[in-house]
Amino acid sequence: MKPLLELESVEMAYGAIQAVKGVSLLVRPGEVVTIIGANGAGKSTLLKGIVGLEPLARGRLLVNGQDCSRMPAHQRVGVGIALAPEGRGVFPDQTVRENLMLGAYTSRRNPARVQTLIEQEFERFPRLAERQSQLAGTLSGGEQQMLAISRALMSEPKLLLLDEPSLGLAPLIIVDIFRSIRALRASGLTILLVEQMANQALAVADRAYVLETGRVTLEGSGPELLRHPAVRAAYLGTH
Amino acid sequence: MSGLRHLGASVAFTVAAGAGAAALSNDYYLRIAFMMCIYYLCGAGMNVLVGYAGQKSLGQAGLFAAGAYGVALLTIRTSMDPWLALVLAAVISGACGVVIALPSLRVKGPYLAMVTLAFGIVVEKVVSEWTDVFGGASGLFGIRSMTWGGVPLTMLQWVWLALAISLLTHLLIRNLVSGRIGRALLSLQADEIASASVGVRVYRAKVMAFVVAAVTCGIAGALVAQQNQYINSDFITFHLSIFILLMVLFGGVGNIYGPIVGAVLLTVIDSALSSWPAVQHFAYGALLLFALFVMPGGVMGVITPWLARRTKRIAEPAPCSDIALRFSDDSTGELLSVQGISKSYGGVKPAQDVSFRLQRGQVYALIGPNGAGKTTMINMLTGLVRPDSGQITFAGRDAVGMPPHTICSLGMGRTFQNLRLFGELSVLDNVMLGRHSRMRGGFLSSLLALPLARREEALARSRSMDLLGLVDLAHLAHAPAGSLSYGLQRRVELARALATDPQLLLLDEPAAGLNPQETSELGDLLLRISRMGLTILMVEHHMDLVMRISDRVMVLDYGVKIAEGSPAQVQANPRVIEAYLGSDAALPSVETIAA
Repeated sequence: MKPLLELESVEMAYGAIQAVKGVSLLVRPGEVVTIIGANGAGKSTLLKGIVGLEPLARGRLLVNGQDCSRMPAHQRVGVGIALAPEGRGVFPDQTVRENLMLGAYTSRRNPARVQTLIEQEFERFPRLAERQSQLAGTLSGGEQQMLAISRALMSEPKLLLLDEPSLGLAPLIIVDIFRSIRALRASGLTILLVEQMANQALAVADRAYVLETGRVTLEGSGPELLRHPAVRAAYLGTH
Repeated sequence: MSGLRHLGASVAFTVAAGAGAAALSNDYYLRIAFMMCIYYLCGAGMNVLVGYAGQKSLGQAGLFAAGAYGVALLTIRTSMDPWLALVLAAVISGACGVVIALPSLRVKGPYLAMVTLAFGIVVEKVVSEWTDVFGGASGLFGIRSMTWGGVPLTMLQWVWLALAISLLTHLLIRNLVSGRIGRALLSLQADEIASASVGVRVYRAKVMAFVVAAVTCGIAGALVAQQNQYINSDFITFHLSIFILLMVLFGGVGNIYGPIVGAVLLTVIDSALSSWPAVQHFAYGALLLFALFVMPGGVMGVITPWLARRTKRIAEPAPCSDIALRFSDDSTGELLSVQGISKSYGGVKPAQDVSFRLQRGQVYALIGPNGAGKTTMINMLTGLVRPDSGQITFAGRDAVGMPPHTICSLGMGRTFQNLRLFGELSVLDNVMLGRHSRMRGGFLSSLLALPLARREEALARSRSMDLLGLVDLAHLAHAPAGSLSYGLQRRVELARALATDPQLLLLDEPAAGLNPQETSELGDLLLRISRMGLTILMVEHHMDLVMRISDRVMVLDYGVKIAEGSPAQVQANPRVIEAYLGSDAALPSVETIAA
């Protein structure tokens, strides 16, 4: 099947520091793919490159076969890429509903559609419906993460990028978040997930890449990598 | 550049400039050279205020006026020595600097700029309308100026005097900003809450920056008044305030050489355009707009990367034993006691009658669902949030109502949940800021680079490098903190908190963003730090970490303490499982998934 997202030898740098050193990966429609790796391995940088928040120094980025390497970030939303960023990045001084409406900025000329999408998200996360007129900054961490995911879904993406959805959340809430990711996967959405909770991430993923100091050092199916001795030693904390 | 080389180069540059001035025969050119020095003086202080402390002022003309009219009135109305009058004028404008600093303690950004703007306009109106005292547009005549051997100074001598004062100002300001105080000012610009939490006295540092800017500007004003022997209200215009700010921005804000470049270039451009008064203002504005558009960092912002080609050598710290890094003796007993503390924000109650005690040398964990009030608790302990009621006793002192920097210097260090690093500063500077409250060198010893300040600076540097070695970040010491990944930034924050010499270390989610392996390494590090004599209280969600390293665990839910005990007791507590851990007692383990 034609890949939805394809990276070809992508390199990225912050000034003199090269953060991503020739990464090639692909995500097929309907797959959940996860990238695991230590801190500073370049995972978040790579996601920023995919959504266009940081430029690619070299290499190509293809979405549905179309070269998007130089496309500005706001247009990439239009071709179907959406990111729920690390640290959630909700707009704290706007209400839950307003945050969602901003997520549907690309369909702003179609209020009826926006309304339908909001209703859909409220169905997905009933907590957000209860809190729709509350300022996003007053939500708890777990609710903010739900909002960040919902806001990303408002642009009706083909590919959802999740950067550390479990960050700073209580154990009970992490279970909820991964349950939502499983539900999204069941609905047929394609997901690229960066997550420090490697065991959780590998358990939901069809395939996974291990990123070390800016390079892909391992790839395989989720269960394969879960059993891989090197992965267990380095990322799962079991010796 | 090292201190001696810089001193030599600065003196050589000034002597060359003085000799160059001697070669100019024409008073017109000498006057341009004199004005370069005057504008440099205004810019040098302004650079400390804008470039380091990050406070914008549009009222510098008012301070210029304070110096100019101060010296005028002192020499006309009294028989005071003109040199002494110059010094007193600097004092007067310094006092005015305190006055315009006061609003900066309450308002920020554009609002502060508006307040300083108003100050400038008020001064302008006072000197032009209060003619009995200030002479208005007809001005004050008969200002006495300095003499050399009984003879009034020639124009060339005026240039030399201005050059000498500029050199002295440059050297003093460089001393001031290159160490403890410069770092503190830069930290204000980045994050005042973090500054206070590492022990910087935020208000005092701001006032100091305003006073430095006021004094240099006042000296400049006084020199102009004495050289002209006349001053009137036409000198004091809003245009002057703007010119001073633009000069700093154009030269390169936050760069010690920026004001020199700005003053020289803009004075030359100003004089060159003065032959065409019709286009002067237009050309001038267009040029500046263009320049700032293509060089947002000013002229120095363009040049510096070229000069900085030489890569900085990174001194690897010698492996440092844990003993050398010890934080406190092995005293035991109670370090912190919290009694019946409550806080509410309207209907939300993040703390309701919470009490607990921390014994020295133990590791405590505070857990609970998101929104349970854990971070609010840390903010109350560190003085950022004042509790509505209840008592906090830290190291035998009542800590309620103490400002954060005082609590920090009593021995409480903290990290923040959402990272409050000074992103533009290097990793090493961030950690050295943690030493701020432990360094005794004050304003004067920094200004004069006294041995005390230099010795302390070296000590702070080596201690900070040791701490960076402890958290395994020594190789990144000179990288900007903001360029590091999330997890590494957390380690910088930890080192910065350790640099404050805490007895109690408060960690707000230290393992957020770490993978299980890194979390386990963090656990090792925290245990090691705890054995160095530190008491630790951490807010954390990673149960493996909490259960492994804590001696005692406290659980908050909706602002109420619902459990406290050993890790095993808490883990088995049904209320905790229901509120926090989840019914199937946490997440599926690796083994069950992989099996």
